[in-house]
Amino acid sequence: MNRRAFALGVALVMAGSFAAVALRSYAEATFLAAYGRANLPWLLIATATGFAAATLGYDALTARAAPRLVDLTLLALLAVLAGGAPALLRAGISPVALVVALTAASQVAGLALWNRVAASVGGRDARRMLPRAGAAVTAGGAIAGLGAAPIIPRLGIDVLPYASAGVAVIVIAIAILQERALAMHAPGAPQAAMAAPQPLGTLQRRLLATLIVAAVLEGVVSTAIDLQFVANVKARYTGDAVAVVLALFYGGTNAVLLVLQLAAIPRLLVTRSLPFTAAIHPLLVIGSYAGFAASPSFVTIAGTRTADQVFRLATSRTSQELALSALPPAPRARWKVLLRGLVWPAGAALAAAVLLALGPHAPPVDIALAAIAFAVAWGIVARVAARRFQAALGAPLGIRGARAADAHRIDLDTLERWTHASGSDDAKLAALARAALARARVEPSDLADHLRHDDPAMRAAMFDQLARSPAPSLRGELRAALAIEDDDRALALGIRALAIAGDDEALARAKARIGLSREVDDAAANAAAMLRGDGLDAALDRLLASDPEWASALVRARRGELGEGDGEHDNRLAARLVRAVHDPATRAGGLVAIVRAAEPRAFTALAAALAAGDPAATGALAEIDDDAAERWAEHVRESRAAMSGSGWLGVARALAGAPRAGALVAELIGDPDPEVAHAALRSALAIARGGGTIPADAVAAASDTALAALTACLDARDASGAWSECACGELAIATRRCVARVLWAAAVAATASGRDPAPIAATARHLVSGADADRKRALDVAQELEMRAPILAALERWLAAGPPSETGDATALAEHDPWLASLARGELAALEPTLLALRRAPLFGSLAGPALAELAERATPRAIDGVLFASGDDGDAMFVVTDGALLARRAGAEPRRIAAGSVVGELAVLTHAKRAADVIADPHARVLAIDRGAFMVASRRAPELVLGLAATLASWLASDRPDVL
Amino acid sequence: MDLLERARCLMACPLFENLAPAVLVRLAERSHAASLDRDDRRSTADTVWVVGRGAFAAGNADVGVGHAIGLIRVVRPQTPAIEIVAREPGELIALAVDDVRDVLEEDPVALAAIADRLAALLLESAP
Repeated sequence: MNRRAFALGVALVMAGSFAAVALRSYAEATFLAAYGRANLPWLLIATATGFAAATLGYDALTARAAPRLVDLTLLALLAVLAGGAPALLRAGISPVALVVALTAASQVAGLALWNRVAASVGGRDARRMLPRAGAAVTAGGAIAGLGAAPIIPRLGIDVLPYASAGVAVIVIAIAILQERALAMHAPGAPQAAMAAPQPLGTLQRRLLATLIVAAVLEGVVSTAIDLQFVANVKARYTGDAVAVVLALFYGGTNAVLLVLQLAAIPRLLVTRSLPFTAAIHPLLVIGSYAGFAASPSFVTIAGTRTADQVFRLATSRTSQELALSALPPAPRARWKVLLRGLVWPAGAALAAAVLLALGPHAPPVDIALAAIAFAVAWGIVARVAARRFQAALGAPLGIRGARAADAHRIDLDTLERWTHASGSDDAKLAALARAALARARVEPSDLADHLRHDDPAMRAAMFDQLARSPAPSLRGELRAALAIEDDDRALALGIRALAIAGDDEALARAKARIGLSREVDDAAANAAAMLRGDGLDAALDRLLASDPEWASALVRARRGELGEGDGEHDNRLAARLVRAVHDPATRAGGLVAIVRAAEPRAFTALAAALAAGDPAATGALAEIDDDAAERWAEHVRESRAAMSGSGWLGVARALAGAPRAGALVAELIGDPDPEVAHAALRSALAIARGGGTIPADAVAAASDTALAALTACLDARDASGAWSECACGELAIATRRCVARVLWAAAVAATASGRDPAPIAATARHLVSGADADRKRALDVAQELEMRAPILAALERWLAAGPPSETGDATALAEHDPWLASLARGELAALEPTLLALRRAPLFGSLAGPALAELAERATPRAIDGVLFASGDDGDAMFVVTDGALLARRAGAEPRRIAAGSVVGELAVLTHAKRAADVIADPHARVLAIDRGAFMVASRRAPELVLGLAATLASWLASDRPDVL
Repeated sequence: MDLLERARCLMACPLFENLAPAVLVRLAERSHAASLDRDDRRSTADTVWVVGRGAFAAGNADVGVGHAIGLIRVVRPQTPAIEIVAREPGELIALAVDDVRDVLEEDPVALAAIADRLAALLLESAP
């Protein structure tokens, strides 16, 4: 923000408003003296038309000449016209021509001056400061109005144009000073930006079109209200009382407006979305006008007029200003003038002409109802414009609007096709179809009506779905359907569904149908094992290898959930599952059974597999259902204290693929360990995007925790004047991670209110890792996505970093990030040089501090003189250059210099491949060696490392494999 | 194209070969199919395109079914975007770059699978 230019700009618009109001008063008095009160509507039409014509002329001139010259010429013309007005009248010029010229010139000058003050502030400063500049406009008008009343009786009406002329001269001087202030802040920028041709994109054109329609409709409604108000005043008061009432009315509305502009509007503009702000004015007008239509009276029309006058300037103009901020500077300034000086007056003139044609005897209620219809249309269009502004604001960041379609509900045809595919001979397709079915939300009650479908494949599909999620309420329908089932596969699946629903009769039905087919016999045997425990051990062993889902149902039944269970048997089952995890043949099945049956005594085996990044374990978690998630959540609540960080990290991360694990992940998103909370919130976001739900109270608590952690980091930043370079750097990274947590929590919370979390997630990405300009835009997008005010305030504080002091209070940091607090206290001083060296490499740039510290402790500093490694060598380590430089030589390629902060040898660590180049060191080069084991441990804890490596690999591949890249 | 069909298209892409079915389905959930006529153009500025049907030119290369174009921008955003031109009527699966990045960041196993595949492709194409 250019404070000097803004202060001068405020003085400009205040003085300009003073001159405009004084001239308007003079013009109206002149008109009344010449033509009488009966012709006032013609004055409205004439001034609106004159304003529109002058605006067009101004627009044409600014397209051809420098806007600053046009503005100064316009102000000079205004000064001359005002100063010469009394003489011109005495010389016999037409009063209406003078009135129109004075009004139009002062109004266009007002628009031009407003663009000057707007040019001095940008971004969120503009949202806070421009309403205050608007208050200066209001104050300028009030001073002119209130000042004129005592002066005119003493000095005569001609004092108004003379005073206006004097003020116009002062405005010219201030305008020149303000121009210099603008140029000092950004030499050449304001005028260059305003003059440069900047074409509009599709979204911007669509936004502009709706703004034009909204302005016309607003002009129509406002004029209808205005004329009805004046008619009511005239009907109720006579003589000088009319002027007194109007003066009191204008004084009152301006006082309310002033208070709003100074206090409420700046806060509204930095906390609420534009659709909210833009709707205020139309809604209030519709409400109060409806009151007038229901009960026509002076009070109700005065209320309507007050609402219109105050909120047009307080919220509609500011909304329009914000909406136009999505346009490039030159068209923004141009269209601001055209919308206010041409389009709105065109609507006003149109309405005035229609009302004049209808005559004074048109029923006021009918006029009000017609105007309300226009106001409803205006409100809708204003909201559409606000939505289009949001789209235009997010588009440069690639942030899309919400997607309404629910991708997780499927119809019966799709269910049938996917179920067929799940039995395909193509194992990959079958697995894919099973994953799609697991992801789909198929409600058991949706299936009940289709259990007697003509197509046996369809019936099998239904039974298969019911076998995936127990539905005891459908036992009756299942029994009836199975009684007439004649297809072996469907029958087998039906028996299975009944058994999983805990229906003992399934066993009787199964036994009655034994001998029909191997499939039916197996289903019967397994149902017996599930419901009675007959041959359970043998069935479990067989199923863990062949059908883990069925096996998990058996375990679940034996644990007492669906059938009878006893402690000794349960312990034996748990031990069997743990053994299964250690047997390669049954490991995957064992993990699935542990997950789906929520067997807590086997949790340690599962957590170990997850911490090791075992795909079988993460795949198993993807199949967790609501019941299992609830049981696991209960177990997590009870055993959290006994678990180490890495175990929880593994669980938290793996949960991302489980759309129904909401209850479980809810236990981790508020974890005191920032890494666990970070990973869990990432997973929560994935679950939310997959259509799952996370309990709202847990999300709210996690959001509060993340916001408190962010605030603690920001407080620490303010107090970090005496911190080491390493601690300051780590604080910046920790703060960014807190920002991500806060926004992810907001995204998850958005799903609870039926909104798409994707735009918030995208905003988080741009805020955390975008360029500076993108971050500022992303903050505005965050506001438009209805982020809470405390979050917006914290984000704004984060983006507006000031110089740190040495005296602030950073004590809260220890509660939220003990590792960082100990680093800040100097307790990890020995590690700081290694941390700093690793952070220089982009690969390690975004890792959580504790993860990097763990890696730093495992890294080995080495001085290199000569060959670091040779082409064809086995490689088991990568190297970060900390001092000096290396040179990589590869046959057929130019030698590549590897400077300090770069990494070499990473491909061998990832792939076990032999070294592909000779790497030679400068005489004084030093590296940090990171062996494969250390890297793998770190990459499990911080997957960003793998993303960084993938980026390196992709860049090497890009030139050779455009087909995949 | 329904979810499963889109997931099948993604599965045919060499770079997604190591991804677990659940991850492919999650990617497919966030994708949409786009039908192109001959000479229609698309950019990789903010989208990864996987060829579902037809023949296309991507930069200087010819690409066909199963090829993914623009994936490098997921892991290396500074890579310049390229234009894809349909040589005949065809169908592309569109994945927003942010969505792919989200899925990879959400799922370390998927990320590792992509990295492994990239490394394997790199070793295959090494002289």
